Amino acid sequence: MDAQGAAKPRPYMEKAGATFTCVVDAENTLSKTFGFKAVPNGVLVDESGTVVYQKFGGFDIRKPETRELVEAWLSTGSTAGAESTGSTTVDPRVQSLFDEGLALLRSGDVTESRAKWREASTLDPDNYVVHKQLWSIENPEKFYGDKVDTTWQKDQLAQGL
Amino acid sequence: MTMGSVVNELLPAATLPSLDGTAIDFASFRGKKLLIFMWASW
Repeated sequence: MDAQGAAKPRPYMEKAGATFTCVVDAENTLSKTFGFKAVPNGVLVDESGTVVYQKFGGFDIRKPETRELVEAWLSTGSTAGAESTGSTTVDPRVQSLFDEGLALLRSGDVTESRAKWREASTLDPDNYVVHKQLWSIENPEKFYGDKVDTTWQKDQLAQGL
Repeated sequence: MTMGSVVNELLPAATLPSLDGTAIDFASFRGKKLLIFMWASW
């Protein structure tokens, strides 16, 4: 999920030597289609195309409970006992402002793009899909150096930025 | 139009480009177990 396109996820995939299919969502399509405002997310889908489990926010395969859930599902087909997250509706005004900001970003008008995304973020402060992408174009050095600076992010939130 | 993904219902329809630009339809994984992991560089 990167408004800045395939160039952002590609290095992570290459470094990990990942062999699974990676798709790029530059338009926030997944946020409105699935109904969430934060990542990382996990959705498990069975052979019939039915969603059997979903977690929006905090889905991390490095967590033992997440790994155990996925492994159990792969071997037994059961996700019994695992609590899913319900979807949430993303305000269409927020998505419109994101879309407008994205068009501006692509035309090279970063200043106006930021203004649109800032407006979207003010309208829906809990929407981290918008908020963090705003941060990432305002402060690329906090995202695209050695690692994502989460301490800086917490500091920004504490300051209401 | 129904928005959002719901457990015990069909996966919402979506088609997105792969890293090399090939269109990938989520429905094309039908018949296999599918784990969708959504992440970002930010």
